[in-house]
Amino acid sequence: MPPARIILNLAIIGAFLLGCISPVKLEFTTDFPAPVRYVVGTPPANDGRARFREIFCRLLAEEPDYQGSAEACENFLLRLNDESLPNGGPDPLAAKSTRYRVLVVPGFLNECFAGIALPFEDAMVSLNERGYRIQALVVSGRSSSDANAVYIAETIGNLNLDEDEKLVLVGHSKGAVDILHCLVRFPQAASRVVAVVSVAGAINGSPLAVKFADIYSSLTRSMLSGRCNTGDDGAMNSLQPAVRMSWLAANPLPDSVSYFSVVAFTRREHINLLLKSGYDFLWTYGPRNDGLLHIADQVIPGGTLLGYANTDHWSVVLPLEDANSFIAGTVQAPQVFPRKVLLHAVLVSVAEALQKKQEQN
Amino acid sequence: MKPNTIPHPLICLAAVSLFLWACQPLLIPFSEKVPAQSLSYLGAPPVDDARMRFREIFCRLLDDNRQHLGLKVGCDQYLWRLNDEPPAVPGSKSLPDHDTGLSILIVPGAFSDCFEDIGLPYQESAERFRKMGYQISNVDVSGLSSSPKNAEIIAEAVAEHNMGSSERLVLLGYSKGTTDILHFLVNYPEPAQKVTAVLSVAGAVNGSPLADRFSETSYDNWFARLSLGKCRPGDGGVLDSLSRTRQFQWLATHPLPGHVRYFSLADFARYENVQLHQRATYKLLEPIEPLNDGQLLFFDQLIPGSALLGYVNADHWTVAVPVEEKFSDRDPALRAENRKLRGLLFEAMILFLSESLEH
Repeated sequence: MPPARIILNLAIIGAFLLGCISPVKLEFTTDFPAPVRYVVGTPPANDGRARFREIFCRLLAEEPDYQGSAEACENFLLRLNDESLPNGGPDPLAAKSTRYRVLVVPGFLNECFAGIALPFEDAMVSLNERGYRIQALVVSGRSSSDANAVYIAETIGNLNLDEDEKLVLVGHSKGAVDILHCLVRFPQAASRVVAVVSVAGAINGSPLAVKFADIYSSLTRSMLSGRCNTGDDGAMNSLQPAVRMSWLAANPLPDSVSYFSVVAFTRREHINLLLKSGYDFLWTYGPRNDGLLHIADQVIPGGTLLGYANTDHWSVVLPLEDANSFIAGTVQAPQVFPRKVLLHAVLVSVAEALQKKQEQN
Repeated sequence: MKPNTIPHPLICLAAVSLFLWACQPLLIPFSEKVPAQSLSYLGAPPVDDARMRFREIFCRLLDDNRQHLGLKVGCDQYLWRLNDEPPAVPGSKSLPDHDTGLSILIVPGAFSDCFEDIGLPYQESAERFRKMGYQISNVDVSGLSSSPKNAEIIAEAVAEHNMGSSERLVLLGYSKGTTDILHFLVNYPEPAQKVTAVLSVAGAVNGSPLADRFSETSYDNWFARLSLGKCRPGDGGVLDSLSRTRQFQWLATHPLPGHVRYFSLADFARYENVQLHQRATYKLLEPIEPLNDGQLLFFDQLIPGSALLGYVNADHWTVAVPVEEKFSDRDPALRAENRKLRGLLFEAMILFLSESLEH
């Protein structure tokens, strides 16, 4: 055997013996630039983090619950190392953010556990008192994105909107995907939508949907029986990365709509107990994940990245702290995430961007 | 099951969590029914799709040479067809003409000088094209050195490269050679002006998670001390420059010069088609992404703003260097076929560049 071949074989045996065959796991750090996983041919995303941080922080400073905590803002919005510094934009409240009708679409299985919490339900009440018109659009928790797209389109068609009133759709997790399907399949409904906001959106799907697929189909029969309708039972399939990315490749999003993404991720110790194992599985894929999705998979192509919420996949929108003691006990975040401020800041940012777009046209 | 015997959903969830906790690492099944994709930093220029034309050229070459080379492999077997690749247009264009005005500098990958006879990519084909009038030479980069160190060596080679007035300089980077080229373009803007295009083959554009894994441990020192073949010591920074954490960061903070045209040819293979010596590393990468070549993930191989030529069905070595011809126990007929396919692949790249960089 030639000496070089012996060396190579020894190197392989050595690698096995020294344990390097265990999966690659990278260290959690925010000292990393914002990553995005793109389908070739889709438009790149833009960076709106600096301005969003400015708006979020100013609104947070007005919140009595968070006053006196100078570092609160930096704690709630994670700063990756390529985020630019804010350049002192105008007062966030100058934007006419209450002129839009807002529909919030929940994610996978949320309908089945609507009694526990719906996305931004606490924030909606408070913001509606300030003149916003925000309502939940609860789609089927177990249905495919195509099926839910039909329901969203019908709901939009049945809305009594003022003549010049436009819609902003906010989607959590799979809700963001359902919205994108609606826009592509139903141009009439899409024509009434000016903006889509994805919050921890399953834009590229999740590798966990592959892992969960078999367990899901066997457990859901007993676990979800009576809690929600089966629908077309295509929800899990709609979350598979191959399905999601193939759909994005084949379906350009309408450019009449502006897209925004709020991404979630946090440290392992702050991940909800029920999401911990999901986090660990995704860690191999990337340590910056929210327990169900990696951060590179949460960005709508061609949209604006608003920021990184320092919380897990559920706490970014669901007030689980207010649920029963068992559920509340699964929340591991050191502080309640300011969901009202997040939604408010999102709507102000959207209004500002739309105003700018209108002025440019 | 009667409704009153249904376990509480949270108990079920907890059971699922525990079950998952104890399971094996997450494995996504290998499937080519996915679209072409790229992991990039926010703000990176998008990748263009040139797969249809490259496939036309390669398949035509394969068909024209199939009989006399005794090749049985189908074109779609050798070039993966992901599910977003546009179908071929009937009555497609003929093969482009050769353009010997292209001057090509080949930059090999990591450890290339350790095993001279197997570390340099496409040598057999290069010799054939030299005889046709192409200027093709290798840059003698240091196999154990960092990309900044090798960028310096490339800068010297480019500066010394004599070019005719109508000549266009192409840098062909293989594996870490691509990374070295990108560092050269950014660090040495003056000689970089001479470069018309960069073609990356299985390029470690975003680095590799393997390098981060190895550099966490004593492997970094181990590699530095290892006396593999005839390696020159260099600056010992090879793994550092292949670290995904560092290379991704570098790309995000160093925009590539706009006057250069970029092309990317990526690869991946099924585990059973990966050479024995890369199977351990394939397994390390598999939980992250089964579409890998034993060293790199398929979405880490595209230069931002480049044109994507395609995905070769080969492991990281087979696509460019003749390692298996020296060290593999594979079937000799398969080795011979891979060698011939590598030659056709190189020719397809040259023809594609001739057409794309036409005056």
